[in-house]
Amino acid sequence: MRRRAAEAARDEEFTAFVVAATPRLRRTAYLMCRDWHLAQDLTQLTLARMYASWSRIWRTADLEAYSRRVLMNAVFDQRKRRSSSEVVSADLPDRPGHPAVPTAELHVTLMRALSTLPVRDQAIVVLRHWEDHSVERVAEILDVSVSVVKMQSMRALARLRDLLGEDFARQ
Amino acid sequence: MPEHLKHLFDRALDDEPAFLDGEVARQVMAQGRGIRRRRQLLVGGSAAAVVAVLAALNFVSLPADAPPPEWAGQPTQVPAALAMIAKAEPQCTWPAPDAATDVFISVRHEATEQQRDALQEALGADPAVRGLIHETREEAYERFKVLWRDSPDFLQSVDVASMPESFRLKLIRSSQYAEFAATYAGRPGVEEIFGGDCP
Repeated sequence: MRRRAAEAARDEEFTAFVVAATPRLRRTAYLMCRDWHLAQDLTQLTLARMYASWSRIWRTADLEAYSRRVLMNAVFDQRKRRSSSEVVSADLPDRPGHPAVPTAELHVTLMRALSTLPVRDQAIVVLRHWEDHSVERVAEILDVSVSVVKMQSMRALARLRDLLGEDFARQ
Repeated sequence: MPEHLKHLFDRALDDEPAFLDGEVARQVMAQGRGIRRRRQLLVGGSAAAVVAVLAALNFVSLPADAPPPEWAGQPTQVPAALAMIAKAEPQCTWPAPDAATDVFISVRHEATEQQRDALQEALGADPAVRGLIHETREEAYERFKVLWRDSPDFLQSVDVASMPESFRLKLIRSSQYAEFAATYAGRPGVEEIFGGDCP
């Protein structure tokens, strides 16, 4: 009986976590994959994996960081599976300094430029500049060193600047 | 640039379709239970691997595809420990239910320090016992890795958590084994007792 009650309490906390975490996880997933349905699937997979370990993590782990880590691993796995069957080409001219895009479309260009970066660099940019996590926290989530995050973050931003052109850099 | 980036990301997210999240929790809980079951099967699978090795060593007479029911739901500790002593002392016959020269006692995972110390003290003071050795799970695992270094698949199915803490000892007279096992079987902290007949 007491076990039942404890399980019910855990499930209730999990439900509350799902309600609170789903929208943000889905948006982060979308920025990584640019497909809302895939983002939804990756979010659900993340939450399901967390539920499978919920009795271990629910009171102990830093759930926010943990969920980002599970999500990014799901994104990386998915990318690996897809890249073995399909070649993705981003139709961006690799010509720095000449963006033929009106400013209104800049966010579209940004998303396309992002997709040309290595997937870990994309994760660093999204976690750092959309989610607003600190360098230390990004390092923790991705299980890499702080200096790797700093270096790749700089490299990624420089590349985005190149792809988006000087207009973007000055804004 | 970073503030600008955040603003652009927000714009990119503007076309988010309306998701009905009401059912998400229920769905992912069902999916999560499936994942948990598969993980448990994997753990059960490693227990089966250990039992299969034991069967191959003629340590237990079992059809290799059927772990004995009393082990099926348990962690791998006991079978893994058996695999180790069978490998370490191939000249001995394990288990020897009636007369045993050597004894292996595995300590329960949840045994307290006091229970373990009391057991060690009792064994050390027992006039039937000689050559008492205590082995931690870490020491057991190190020994296990050396003994099974040629079987990487089997090694992979076992980790330090699969190894029990244990006491090993010799009996002064092998005929004392049945009485010895009966005395210690019910003691707090004792998980399993196995006797081996070594020439």
